[in-house]
Amino acid sequence: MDAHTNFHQPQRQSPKAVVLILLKYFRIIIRQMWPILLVILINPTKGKGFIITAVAFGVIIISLIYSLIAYTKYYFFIQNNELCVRSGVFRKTVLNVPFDRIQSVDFKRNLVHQFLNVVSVQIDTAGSKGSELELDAIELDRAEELRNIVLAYKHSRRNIVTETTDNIPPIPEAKEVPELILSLSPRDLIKIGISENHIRTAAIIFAFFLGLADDLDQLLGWDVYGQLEDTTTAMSLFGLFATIIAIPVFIGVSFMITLIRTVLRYYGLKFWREGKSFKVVSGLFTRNEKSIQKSKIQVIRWVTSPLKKIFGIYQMNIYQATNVDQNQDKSLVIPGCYQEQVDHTLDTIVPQFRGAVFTSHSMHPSIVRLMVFLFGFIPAVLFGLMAWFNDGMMQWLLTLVFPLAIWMGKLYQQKRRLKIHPDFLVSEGGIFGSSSKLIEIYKVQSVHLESSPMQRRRGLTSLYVYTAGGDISFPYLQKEIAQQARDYILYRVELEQKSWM
Amino acid sequence: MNQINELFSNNQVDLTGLPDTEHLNMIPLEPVYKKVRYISASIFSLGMIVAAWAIALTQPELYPFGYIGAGFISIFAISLVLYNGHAYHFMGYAIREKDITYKSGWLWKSMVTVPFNRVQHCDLRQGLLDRRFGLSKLTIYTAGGQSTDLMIPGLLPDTAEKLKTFILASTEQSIENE
Repeated sequence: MDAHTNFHQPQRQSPKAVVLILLKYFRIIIRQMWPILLVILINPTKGKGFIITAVAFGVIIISLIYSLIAYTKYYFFIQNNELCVRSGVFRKTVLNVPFDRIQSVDFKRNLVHQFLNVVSVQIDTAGSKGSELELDAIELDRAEELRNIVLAYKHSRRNIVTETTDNIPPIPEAKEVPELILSLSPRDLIKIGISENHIRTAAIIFAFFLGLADDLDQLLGWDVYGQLEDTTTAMSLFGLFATIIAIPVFIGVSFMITLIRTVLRYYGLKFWREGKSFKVVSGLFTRNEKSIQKSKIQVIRWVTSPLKKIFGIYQMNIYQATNVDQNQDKSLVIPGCYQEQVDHTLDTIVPQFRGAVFTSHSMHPSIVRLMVFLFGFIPAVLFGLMAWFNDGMMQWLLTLVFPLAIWMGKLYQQKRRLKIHPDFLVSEGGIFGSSSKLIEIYKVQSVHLESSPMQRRRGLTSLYVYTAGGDISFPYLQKEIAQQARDYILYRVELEQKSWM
Repeated sequence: MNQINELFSNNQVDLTGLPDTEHLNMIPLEPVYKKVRYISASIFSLGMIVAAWAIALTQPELYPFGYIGAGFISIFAISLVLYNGHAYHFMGYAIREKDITYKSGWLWKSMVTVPFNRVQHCDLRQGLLDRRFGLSKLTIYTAGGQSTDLMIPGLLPDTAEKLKTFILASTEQSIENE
């Protein structure tokens, strides 16, 4: 940062942004029109295809011109401690984002960004929908300067509330030396990939194929469903073989996809602590950088599955205060780390936590009955009826959900714990693996108690504790404990002088 | 104040002596709101009943299941109206120095408490029926997202206005203390 940029002057993004704006439009257009494009490719009818192609080219040329104009009309600058963006080809829009409202400034670079040596800057605000800002492409040093100005302003605001900082943004302070908490090696990555949830991937692939079948059906009149139905209902020897072969292939494919996805997303993941904030950088083609200020952290969760347990790894999520309506994932995800890194992170964020002594409360066993009824009995009856009417041998196997639900329900009840400490609240659970969720009591936003007639008969209540970044819910807790916990949490929150973020 | 609290105060907290939220004196909602509840539930239920019988009567091939189904739906719809109306008696709110609590539900009971120092903003709203009967709804928003918002229906407009002013004043005060 030798030559300081004067951000008070309205300025354009890097000229390279044109490429990225254009790509953005292309991607939008292709995403919208891919079924049509597919039809053109597969089914080139005379004349008709030509018109469609011409239209497509027209759209592309118009979007090219449009993105060039959009680039020249796009200015950003700093004014009165606000980040302003002036843009618009036909209709002028001016967007002002006060520094106070900025939650985070994140950089993102995909392959094109890396190639052009620029970053896209994403500015997230605490506010209503649509108020977040994205600069498509600016040079890395200019982006860093901008971020430092915003962060320095926020920092100074926190310390000196009375002193009004006028137009002059404070000089960025010398940064603390960042501490590298975790760096994933390719071996770690493979371990994580192997122990990911393959059933979920399988479900996604399945859903994708169903969607594809739907599109093909609509566009080309290929009756994919009909064909599938024919093969599945005819319980021929061939069908059986096909199923026996298809299942391992399917599992193998989803395994490979999870592995590749993990490598793509988390390649070279580095987890840093930079003074008062945490930062995760990862990705093979798209380098993602996400950071969270320590004071904004609301919930910490660490989870392990049976497969992950073998390797001794945990997944850790750090949730920050966020606008829930935005429906954006603003959490830091560390897909795999060892016990010591979990401990270290906890020690930095909540120093007293690991030495704390908790009182532990479990869930009333009657929850098992409810769970078995909902997830075991009702599905089993439905599957049973289906098997009865269809006379399908294989379908009878599905009624095994009933014993499965009893077993899993019992495990669930045994492992669910609510742990209470004067400063912390921890919810533990997990059927085969284990998960822990931690919140600091003074960050709680509101407390709910709910009870059904059945719960009241047994003197039970459900407790829900909400923070700005997630909640802890604990059904079937003893009424007295739930009420006492509620009264205590309220007492702590109302007494607390510290700001919750 | 803050510093001293953090460093030196570590008194034992008597859990049984904490302010009790369970047995607060709840202020009931405006009696006319019971009527509003009956009316709005009736409109909804009536729509359901009409639709069910329309299907049962126009589709003779469903006989007799159409009639049985429509009968069940009618019973369900009527009990829905009765439940909704009766649930009025279990609704109420209470304000303490530092928080506000809202209680509702007849069979499925719920109780929400929001401390004033966590309130983000409040708003007043009037639906069509509310306006006809001169009522207002007060919603209190926290940073915890939609599921944590506290909504008190069936208030007189100036009570609602007063409540809003009081809550916002308490919120401001508690934040200034921080």
